[in-house]
Amino acid sequence: MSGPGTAASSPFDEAFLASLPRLEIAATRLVAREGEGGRRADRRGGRVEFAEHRPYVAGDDPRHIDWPAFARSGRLHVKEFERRDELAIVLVVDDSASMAMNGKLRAALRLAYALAYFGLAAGHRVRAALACDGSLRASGEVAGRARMRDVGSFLLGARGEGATKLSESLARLPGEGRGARMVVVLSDLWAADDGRAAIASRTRHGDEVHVLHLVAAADHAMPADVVVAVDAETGERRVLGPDAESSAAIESARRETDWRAFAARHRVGYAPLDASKPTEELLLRTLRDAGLLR
Amino acid sequence: MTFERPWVLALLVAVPLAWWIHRRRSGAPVVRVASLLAFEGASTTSPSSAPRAALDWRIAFVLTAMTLLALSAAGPAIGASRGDAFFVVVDRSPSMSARTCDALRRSELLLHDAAPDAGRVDRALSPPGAPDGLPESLAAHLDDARRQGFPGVVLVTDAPFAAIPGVVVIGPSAGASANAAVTGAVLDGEAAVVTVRNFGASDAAVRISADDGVAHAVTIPGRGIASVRFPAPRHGERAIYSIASPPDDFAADDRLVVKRRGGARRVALSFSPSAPCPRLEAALRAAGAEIVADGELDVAVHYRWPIDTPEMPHLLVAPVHKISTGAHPPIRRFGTARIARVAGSSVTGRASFADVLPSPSSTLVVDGQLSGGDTIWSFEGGVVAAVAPGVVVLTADPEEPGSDWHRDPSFPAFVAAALDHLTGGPDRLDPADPVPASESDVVRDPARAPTLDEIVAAIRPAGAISDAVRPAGWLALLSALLLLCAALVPRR
Repeated sequence: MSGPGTAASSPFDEAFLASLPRLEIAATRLVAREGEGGRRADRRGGRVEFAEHRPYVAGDDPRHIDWPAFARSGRLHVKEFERRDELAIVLVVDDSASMAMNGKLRAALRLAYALAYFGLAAGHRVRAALACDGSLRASGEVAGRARMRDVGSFLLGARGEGATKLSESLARLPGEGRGARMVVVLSDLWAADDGRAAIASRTRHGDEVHVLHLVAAADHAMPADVVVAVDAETGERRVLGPDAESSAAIESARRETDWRAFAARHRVGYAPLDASKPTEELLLRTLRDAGLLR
Repeated sequence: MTFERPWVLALLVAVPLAWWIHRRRSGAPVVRVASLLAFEGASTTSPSSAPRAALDWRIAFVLTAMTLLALSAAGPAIGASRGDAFFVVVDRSPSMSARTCDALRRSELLLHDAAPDAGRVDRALSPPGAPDGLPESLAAHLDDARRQGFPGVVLVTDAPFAAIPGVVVIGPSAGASANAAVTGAVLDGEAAVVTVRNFGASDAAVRISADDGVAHAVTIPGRGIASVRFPAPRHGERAIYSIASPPDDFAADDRLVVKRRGGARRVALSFSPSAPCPRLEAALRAAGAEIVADGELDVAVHYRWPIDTPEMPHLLVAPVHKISTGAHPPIRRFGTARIARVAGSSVTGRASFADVLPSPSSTLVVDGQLSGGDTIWSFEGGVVAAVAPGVVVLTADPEEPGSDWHRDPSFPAFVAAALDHLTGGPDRLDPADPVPASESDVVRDPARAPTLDEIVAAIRPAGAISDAVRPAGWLALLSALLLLCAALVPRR
């Protein structure tokens, strides 16, 4: 199987890369509009950074007077600071065989890349990880937009093989560093171990977890006939009757409902995403609705 | 059929193997899915319940091509080899059924002793029941045997046929000691004269009986004949004459079945009172016919008189009416009568009527012209007489004053020939399937028995046949065509 990062079918094609700055503006605008209220008060971390000088006026805190500047210019200026939330974003992409079917892995990689881009642009630290067969292959944590290349190279190593064991994989997440951490899981969640236990555990430890559920209608498209279905991950075979497609659609809807309930119960962000839709639409509409982008 | 490389036929195992693999794969279609978890609620079923097409032409072509290819690679040759064999010509004539004739059984023993494993190519010397026809009947078989590579033929017969180079004759071990045969029966008035013949050297006292119970005893001299008179059967009836005793060695010729046929005995003569026909009446009587007014008739004779009994055989003499016999092909008389004097020398005839032409010096007066039917007499001016099934038409008028044909013997002879034609020939006894005298001649010393060496010399030895059919190329071509067809058949 050719991986999603091959030259012929690179998920990060030029058109996609060229669209990111425009999307960033849209995302920044979202941040400006929604303001501070979007973040939770219990968030740890963040840093205070110098913003600008302004002339001293009565009532200003004398601790903020820039004395070296007064020595150089003879005028009193005060430093203005702004507090910035600094996040450690971990983007976990399900790299199992089921994701390689019907364009889900490609969509997940593009989303992860875009989220990394926005995160780095906003001054956050970003780490990408590929989960499969219970293992977690994580990149180094990077900061600054200049490190996007590293993130992209790492994501291109996705192979789309093996089985999904998300709880086992998420348990291998690197330890918490300084500041708050956001964990974004991108998966089709077609597994007995769909990571709920680990996700619940992460939220209890203060991580902000978002689950981006990649959904493809083709996953349950079946000919109206008797077929032998072979599980892409386990190789298990099962003979299905003509009602397979309709029952799969019902099962898919049921799982979404379960996940919504789980997400509400554990304060987890959850968004089902149609893998067949353009990445831009997923980013600006679906993810905004899901509260992932501000 | 033989194969140059028979071990290649082991490749045929691939055919059922391919079929088995095809069957395994051609059940329900296999679909790879992201996860079977999506189909937890779907019903399960058996792969065999998936519908299949009645016939998968693609796999049929492929399997057939595989079979043909394997056969082709094995190098098939049809008729490539053969074993030792005799070319045996068997006489099936009636004399082979003589009690003392053991030629067939003897030939089997002798051939088995000479070459127990040799095969046989059997031919009948002549059609069953027909005379053996030797020696002419053997020529075609000799040619046939030589074409097939036989050095000689084995002839099984009871006929006194001397062996010649290339022909080994196997006859009976002993000849018949006595045989008397009923050889024929002829009609003499109302008596049947039955002829019996003695084929033995000694006088034979035999008793001849007819099926009506009449029997006569007669002594036939050695190699001589005798005759016995019996009452003849009536017209159209049959009689059986047989040798009642003593039994001899050949029973097939001891019985003769005859049937009395032909002969016009009773005729009705129709004519106008204004135009009597004494000359025709005299000719009819001269031909042996009995002219009657009623009762059972054989032929209706009309002189210048129209047909009034269409179901009866007719002799129409000098018809003056338009006629149409209704038979196929029909005979028609021209409506316009034209009387002509015709010299006997100018008349030509056909078939049996060519034997009763008028004398050259006689003069016939012909009244009218005929068309249709089969012409039997004609002259340069037209048709004098014609026949069709059930009818003879004569335009010559014997009663005309200018005619002197009635003085010629050919006139009653023509009338007699016409009556015989209409009634199937002269009065006679026809034998049914008589045994020819040559077949009854079974009392003789047997032919010399051939030696085993002579018999072995007639064997065609085993070996290869140069002109064997080797269809490997055609089979390969056919398999290629089938593979092409398989490629053109769309996948299911």
